[in-house]
Amino acid sequence: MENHDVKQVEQRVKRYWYSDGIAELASGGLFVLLGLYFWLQVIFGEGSIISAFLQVILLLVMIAGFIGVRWLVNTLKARLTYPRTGYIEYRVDDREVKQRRWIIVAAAAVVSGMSIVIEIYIRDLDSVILITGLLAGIIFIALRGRASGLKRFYALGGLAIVLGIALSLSSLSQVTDLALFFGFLGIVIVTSGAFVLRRYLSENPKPAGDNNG
Amino acid sequence: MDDDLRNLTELDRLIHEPARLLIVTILSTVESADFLFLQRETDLTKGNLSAHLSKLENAGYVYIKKTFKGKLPLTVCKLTEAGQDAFESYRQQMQNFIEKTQS
Repeated sequence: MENHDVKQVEQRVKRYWYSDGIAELASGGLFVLLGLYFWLQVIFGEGSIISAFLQVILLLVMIAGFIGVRWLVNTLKARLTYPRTGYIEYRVDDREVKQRRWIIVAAAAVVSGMSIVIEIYIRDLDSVILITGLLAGIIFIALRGRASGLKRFYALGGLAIVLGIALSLSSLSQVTDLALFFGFLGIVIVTSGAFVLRRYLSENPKPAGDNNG
Repeated sequence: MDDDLRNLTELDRLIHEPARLLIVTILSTVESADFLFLQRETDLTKGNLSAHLSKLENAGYVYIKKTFKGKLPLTVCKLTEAGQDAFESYRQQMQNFIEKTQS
């Protein structure tokens, strides 16, 4: 068997994680939650006690969000996916984990550098949203898209980049930019995940009785 | 005749069989997979897949754990270290053969 055939099998196995749309539904939900979080800051305004409280609990919201997403994905997959199309435990490849970390660090460095240079030339540019958009885009394209070979991740990455650039050039406040970015992108990701899940469920009806050896 | 070409006769026939090669390739990319996943990916019948898995298990290439999830049986398969080594060696032999015949 040639190496590219093995690579194809590997890619198919990786793609299996995204075949049901559950991971997108959950991560899109987290984005929507972050959008709501920033929107609350916009509503209560800078300097208010609630806004200050929200800023303090951001880290908590993020950690709770990641734990919640993990729990939701595992629970939904155990109920919907594994009985229909089977269970696999993914191997933790140290080399791949290191490679992924380097991609994120390199992308963060390049994007930060770029945004500083751009900010010098373009006034009123929101570098935070620019970095967020470019980073989210690179992560979608370089990590999810490349690993799974699924085109929808390239589209989502492209959308994140375009959205980040557009909002960075807008005259809105930074918090409003972040609320719109996460809210809009989250809704798109959730919608994409919902379509994929719907198709997956219609193509893979739950088998009756014992189907696992 | 070149050694790489001559080595082709020493290929691991247990892995060389297409259905088993596919099973081993899938298992080489994951930590473990259940029977249902393997059946769907290989498109084999239950009986066929069971037979191939038994052969791989007897050779010490695959570890099979039969458990229950609720009232339903769950068969989880995992490539052993010997299986991984055999697969790597098979891949290498095939790659050498392909390179030699292409050049």
